[in-house]
Amino acid sequence: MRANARRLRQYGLPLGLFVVLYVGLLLPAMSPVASAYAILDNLTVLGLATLGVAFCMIAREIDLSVGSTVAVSGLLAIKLSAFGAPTSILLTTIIAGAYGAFQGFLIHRLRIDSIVLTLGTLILLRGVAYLFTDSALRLDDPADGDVFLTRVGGVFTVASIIAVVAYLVLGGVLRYTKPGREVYAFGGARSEAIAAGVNGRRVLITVFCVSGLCAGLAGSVSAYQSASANPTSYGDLLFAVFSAALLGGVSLKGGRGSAINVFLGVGVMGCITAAFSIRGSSYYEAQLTTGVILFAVVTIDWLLARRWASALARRRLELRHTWSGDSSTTSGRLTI
Amino acid sequence: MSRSTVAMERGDAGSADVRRATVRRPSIRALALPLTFVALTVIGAILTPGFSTAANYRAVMLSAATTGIVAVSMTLVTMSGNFISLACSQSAMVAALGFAGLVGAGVPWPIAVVVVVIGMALIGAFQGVAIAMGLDPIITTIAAGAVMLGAAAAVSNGAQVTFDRVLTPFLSSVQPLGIPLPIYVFVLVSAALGWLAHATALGRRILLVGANRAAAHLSGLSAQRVTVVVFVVFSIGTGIAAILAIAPVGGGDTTFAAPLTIDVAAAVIVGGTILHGGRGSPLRSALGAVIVATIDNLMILNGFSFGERQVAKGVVVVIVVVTIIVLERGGRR
Repeated sequence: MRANARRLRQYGLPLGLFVVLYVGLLLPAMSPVASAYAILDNLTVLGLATLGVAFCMIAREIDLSVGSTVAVSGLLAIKLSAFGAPTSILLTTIIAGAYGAFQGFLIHRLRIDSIVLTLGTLILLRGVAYLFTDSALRLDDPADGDVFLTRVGGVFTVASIIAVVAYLVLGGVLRYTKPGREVYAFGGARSEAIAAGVNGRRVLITVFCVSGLCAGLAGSVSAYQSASANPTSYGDLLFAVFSAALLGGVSLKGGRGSAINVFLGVGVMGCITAAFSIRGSSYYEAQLTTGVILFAVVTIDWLLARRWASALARRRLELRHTWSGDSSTTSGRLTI
Repeated sequence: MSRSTVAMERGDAGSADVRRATVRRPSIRALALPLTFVALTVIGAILTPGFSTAANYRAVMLSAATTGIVAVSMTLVTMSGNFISLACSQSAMVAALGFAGLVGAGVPWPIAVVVVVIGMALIGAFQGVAIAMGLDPIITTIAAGAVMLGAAAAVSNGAQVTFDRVLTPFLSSVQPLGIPLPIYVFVLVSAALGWLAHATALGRRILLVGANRAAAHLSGLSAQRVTVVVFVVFSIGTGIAAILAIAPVGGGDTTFAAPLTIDVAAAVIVGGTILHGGRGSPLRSALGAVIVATIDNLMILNGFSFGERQVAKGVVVVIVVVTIIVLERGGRR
């Protein structure tokens, strides 16, 4: 029963929110195909960036520099566009991934708090973006980017298919492979995981590498889509990424969340953005709404967690009475 | 997040941290910052023509003043273990536009100042209560920032909010002894919060809550109350800085103060305040703000581009962060 309650909290809340917003906000205004397209369109930049940051969050780390990384990646992809779109995107993604891995290595080596280091790299990379250019960079031939805007099957674009593939691959790695399992263990109960032989360095390098890869892919594909990149853009991506991850049910406290959660969260964000833009309201009103919803959801989640924790504490107490020993069912993740 | 792990690792060292911070034994770290500043000024004066003039020093201080007032008020938040507010820009923007709107609507400026300060105190209290309840400071401040930005854009319709500077004579143009008002306020706020942090019981409480929350709880301190207080102080400080920033300009839109968050974070970090709390000093953040402004000024005078200046700021921040961590570990071993 407790497993059910947990699954309800992890998937039920975000799914319910998504359905309510989709049926209540989006469907009255758009056809199902158009609304599906609008939501999937969100998957390229916000979706990929959130997926990468979610890896860090599951490992109980934070990458604050995601917006700057996406901006630099976009500029880099345009700079490398002489090699052709596929090579340019691949190169950018690899460079961003290598940079992310290095960041993860530093966090492990210096035992520095990831929030602190990535706050520094957030400032640093924004400066690097301005080093590329003071204004927008454009593709020599804007038509090069058209392929990523091509619609496939009515609801997809080539760009959103790339994102879906990334979701399937990374989501599979997270769920079914040993390195993925280690991310959960490391985030959920760090000291126990390390005691059980999880290699902390590998986990940190993996999650920050994935965060870099995703940001690189998001930035480069989106630069091709719009045939330009700007050093000022993505300053507010961090808020959208955190909102998507948290609304989707990924926990900041580590150990909880999956690619499905991220997808749901991005879907919720997509509903809000699309509903507001079709009504012609400003982008900021969508932000305001997102902020309010985020406060509400985080508070509900916190209340649930507290109730759940006190129920667990009671149960633990009962167990202790019965066995007069410490219960082995407790895991670090459950303590709030 | 690894913040709590760090706190756990510290464990017993937490109380030692507090002692070290409160006894204020002069150490390399304490002297490093003033020495950096002196070195910067001397090198700047020798290598850069036009740096060591009264007008330029005034310009440096003026550009440090707004960032500095916010950074100094933010330091209490950081010391209490609540990271930093990622909504500095938005808080300042809301306060500035609120002030501009009130004065533009004919409200006398002293009343407008009071209303804005009270409003900011409420905004700060709201965030403080949310965080004290157990919400994450990063999420709370980012979400609050989005709400403030959205609300300001909805109210102002994204347009400029302006007022006639004749209505705010004291704030806009008074320069006692030729020094602009924001610099006086910067010095005053730094002194007041420096005193609060180092010489009052509240300051000790903030430090203890930041250094070791469990120990603070066991000694009967309410981390919740401290959290609310520091956010109220931060918010009021940001409001004052915003009023001083918008008064000479006469208006602004929702992009007002956009780079503030990064500049404030840089100032607090360069000042050497530990981002997971338990140690720090508002006065050092003030010096941090002045150092960041001095570096910026030197680079402008030497013809560096905006991008190069941002990179320099980022490099300095990363170097300081890493150095503090390494020194810290060396000291504890």
